Amino acid sequence: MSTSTTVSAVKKQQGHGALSKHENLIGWAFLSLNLAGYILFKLIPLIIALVLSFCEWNFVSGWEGIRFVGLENYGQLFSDEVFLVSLRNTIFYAIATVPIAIFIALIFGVILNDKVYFKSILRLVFYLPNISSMVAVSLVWMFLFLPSYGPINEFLQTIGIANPPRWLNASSTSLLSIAIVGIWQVLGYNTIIILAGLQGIPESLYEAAEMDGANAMWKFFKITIPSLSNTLFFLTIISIIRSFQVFTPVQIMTEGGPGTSSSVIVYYIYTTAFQYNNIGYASSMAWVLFLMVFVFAAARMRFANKGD
Amino acid sequence: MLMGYANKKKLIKIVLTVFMAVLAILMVLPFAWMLSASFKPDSEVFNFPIEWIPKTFTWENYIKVWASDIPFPTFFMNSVKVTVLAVIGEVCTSALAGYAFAKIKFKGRDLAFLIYVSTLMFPSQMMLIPRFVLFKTMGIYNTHWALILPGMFTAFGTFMLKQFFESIPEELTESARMDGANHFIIFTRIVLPLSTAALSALIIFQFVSMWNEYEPALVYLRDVDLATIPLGLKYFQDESSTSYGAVMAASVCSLVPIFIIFLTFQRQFVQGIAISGLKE
Amino acid sequence: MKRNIVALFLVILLIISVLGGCSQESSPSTSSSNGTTNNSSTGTSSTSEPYKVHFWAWTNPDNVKPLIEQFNKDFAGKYELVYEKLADAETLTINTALASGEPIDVMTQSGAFDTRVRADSGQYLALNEFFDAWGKSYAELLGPAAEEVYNFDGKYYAVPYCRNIQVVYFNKKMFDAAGVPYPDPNWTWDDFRETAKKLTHGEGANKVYGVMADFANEYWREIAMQKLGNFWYYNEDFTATRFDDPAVKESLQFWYDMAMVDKTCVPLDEYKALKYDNDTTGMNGLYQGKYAMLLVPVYGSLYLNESYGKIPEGTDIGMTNMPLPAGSSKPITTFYTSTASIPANVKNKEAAWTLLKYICFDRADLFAGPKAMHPGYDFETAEERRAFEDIIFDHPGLDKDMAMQVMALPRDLVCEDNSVIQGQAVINELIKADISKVFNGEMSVDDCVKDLKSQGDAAIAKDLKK
Repeated sequence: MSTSTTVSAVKKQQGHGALSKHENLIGWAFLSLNLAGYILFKLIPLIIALVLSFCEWNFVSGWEGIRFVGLENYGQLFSDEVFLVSLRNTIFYAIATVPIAIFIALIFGVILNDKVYFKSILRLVFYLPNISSMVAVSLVWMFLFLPSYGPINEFLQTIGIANPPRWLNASSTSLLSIAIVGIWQVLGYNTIIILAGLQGIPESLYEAAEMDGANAMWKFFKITIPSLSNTLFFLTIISIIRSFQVFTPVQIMTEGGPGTSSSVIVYYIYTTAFQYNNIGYASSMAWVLFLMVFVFAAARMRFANKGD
Repeated sequence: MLMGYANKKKLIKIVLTVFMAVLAILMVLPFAWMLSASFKPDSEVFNFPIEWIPKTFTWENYIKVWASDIPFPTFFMNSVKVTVLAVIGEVCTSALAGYAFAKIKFKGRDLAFLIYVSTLMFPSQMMLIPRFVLFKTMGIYNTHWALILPGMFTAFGTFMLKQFFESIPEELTESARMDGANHFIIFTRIVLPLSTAALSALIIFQFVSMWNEYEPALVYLRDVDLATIPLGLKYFQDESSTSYGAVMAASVCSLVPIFIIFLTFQRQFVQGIAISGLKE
Repeated sequence: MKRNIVALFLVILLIISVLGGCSQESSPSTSSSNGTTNNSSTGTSSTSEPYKVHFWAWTNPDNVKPLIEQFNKDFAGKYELVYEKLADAETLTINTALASGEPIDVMTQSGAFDTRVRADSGQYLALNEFFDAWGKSYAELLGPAAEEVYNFDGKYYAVPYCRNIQVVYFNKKMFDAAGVPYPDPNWTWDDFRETAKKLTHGEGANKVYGVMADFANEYWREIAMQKLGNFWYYNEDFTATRFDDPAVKESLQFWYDMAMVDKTCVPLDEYKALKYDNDTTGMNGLYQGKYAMLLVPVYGSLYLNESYGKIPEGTDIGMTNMPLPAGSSKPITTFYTSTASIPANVKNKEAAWTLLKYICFDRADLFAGPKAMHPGYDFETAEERRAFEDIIFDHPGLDKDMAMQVMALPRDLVCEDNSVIQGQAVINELIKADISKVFNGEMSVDDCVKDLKSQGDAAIAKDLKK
């Protein structure tokens, strides 16, 4: 909110009448290209999905087989144990991964910005988990996590932990294990966003601070982090969204098990829709997810506006 | 004193390099596994303990990928076409929209932005069937447009660029306005040049995500000649098993363009160039 | 720097425009290929072009080449087979293909649940008329087990093109080294368990197991299936489950004891981490001596072939029947199938049926055969069986004679496929969840059976209410 004073000053300057009308036009003009595509390829499918969420439909039958069921799908949702467990797991996953992954990425970003040699290669290497084949990623991790003689547990045993966790193979740790893989995988991605954000910080700020004899910690907390506020906001929102959509690692490594201990919402949506043809019910879950975020984001925006 | 300071900085740099390099080993493991698997016969791919250096070294998989009846070169070119078009389109439309959200005060802006961001949460998997229906009515089912067009107009890119554009100091754009510059000039002359890092990051992200997109290709494409690499990899899957050696060989090959894009664009992450040049 | 980016963009744009040009040339040509066949009469040649029959399957195109060539030779001038490779056999893949409006004459699929859904949705043609015209009965041709599963209210919408019969492959050298005699084809599950004990030794990463059973194929239910027959977990009128039947507990308890008590069977965590669910890896573990016995369908032996990697010198793999429950007089073997169907909106029924019959019956040796699968039908004569199994069991390192002798024994067949709709979706997920708990030591066999029963019954009741 450091720019809030300037913003409000600008607001006053703009005034009313012709100028703001002109601004409206220009604004929508800039937006129009993206908006047109967005409406066509995102909003319309979204609305089709909304309609489907009030129906029972298996897709194979074509439109003839569609049956309107009103709110039945939504009513069913909140007594569906697997849905509730998946929702809870997803929230846990988000809480476990988002802050840690952003914090580590922040440190990595600062280091990889210019504090190391071979930085372009190192940046690429940290991005590798994002682009390596998912089969390779899951295989390597399943091997690392292997309870009986995987490297992680062998290490834990040598340092004296007699009963190391069973990681992916226990209800109590399966989701945590997936979260570890999730953090590891998203680090490179987050680091790039941080790196991009760091480029906007004027060197002169650091130089001035150095003149005043500031140490590295001070610079990090008093210059770097405040200057990255826009970037961090973006990163937080995107990380939450991405963590709510975690799917492939679950599908490949645990299939939601043991039991339903690592079932997450998109995994459940996916199996419901595409394994068991229940498109209507799956659509209602997706819409609930969407509404939750909408309310959350709207509340946050209101709050932010009031802050202005 | 000055020498000592420089030496200390150098030392820290060396220590940090070693530290990051050690961490990098953990990052590189899956890639190393892919690479080694791509030189193994199928029966040895999952040998245990992991054989990082193939026991039986073979080029067979690469030959299978590039020189068999499976039109991998076609898949490759399809991926290039789809990805490049979508990324260019996305960067253009997102930059314009991001600018509108960040730098123009217009009626309905906040609501539009709220909707943009929250629809990001809608699982893309649940878009598959509605889009399938839509594309069939539009007549772009089974064409590359079914992949390119949705990739061109994303809320993600808009949101990302909006955030970065916003961090460009208001004073900079406002003073240009005072000098009589219109929005288009501010956009092209000030905002874009100051955002090369953000644009580069977006290009990298979008390139990777388009390049790896599997499910949309599976649902919207039919002809073999149109398949992209992730869909094409399924050609190495048979009735009940997959030729993982060939899949890994193909995956390794498909990483090359990503490396090129990454190494090209990450060079834009050079601190200070843009802003410090303009600040004075 | 900025100039570099601009230059890069220009280069990329150039590439795209070239690519764009290429694709514009190629895409109309593919879409117009149907048009040209119809308009061919306007051309100079007077011979009408053969009718294109579109065959959709997920087999690697290389492996169906002989089939395509033979079909086109046999029906030269009349039909031309066009092969369309499906990306995989997943529900979504096949459903979107069916909804795409593309020409499909024969669609293949795995999974009776999906088949039933598609048939009930009116997507498929009932095939009874063709069997009637042919003068053959579905049950006689394809056996009573498959008939029962694929008889949807008297109509047949799908024909099994293969039978994946569950057997035990074993590493003879490991049996010899341990001084254990090769199993008798009429052995019981108790014999099996004792044999596995004798063959298990070692610790940790070097442990050698007696058995590897593919958990994804749910071997823990095999004894229940042998005892309860088709639709093993449904009661007679499909209104409730029978997870409370003692056979279910016996079956689960047996495998639980193998994996968790005796520890003679590769445990679930290792099975997943070491990718034994991949058939190539599964067979590799057997000939490399990681375990002495492998429970897989017959086609597991395919992965002894050189194209999957060289097998060690002197590899000697034997084959025997899946064990029987104590007290059974003759082998009871379970199998699952993949099937072929004809879409309801097919243009030329006759052509589609000709193709379906060709791949399922006339030349199963060119479709199921090369995949080391039995055809969906019963052999009529011993010669016919021998000729076919000559293809199936022809792999290096496999004791072909032993395999053929075992397969020639009389046996009862139970079909694993499940075409009952009510409750199945929920129950399948429930089984997956509960079983993963049992084999990770988090749930007792009794609790599992109880949970399956109560939740399974509720799922069926809920679906029946609709």
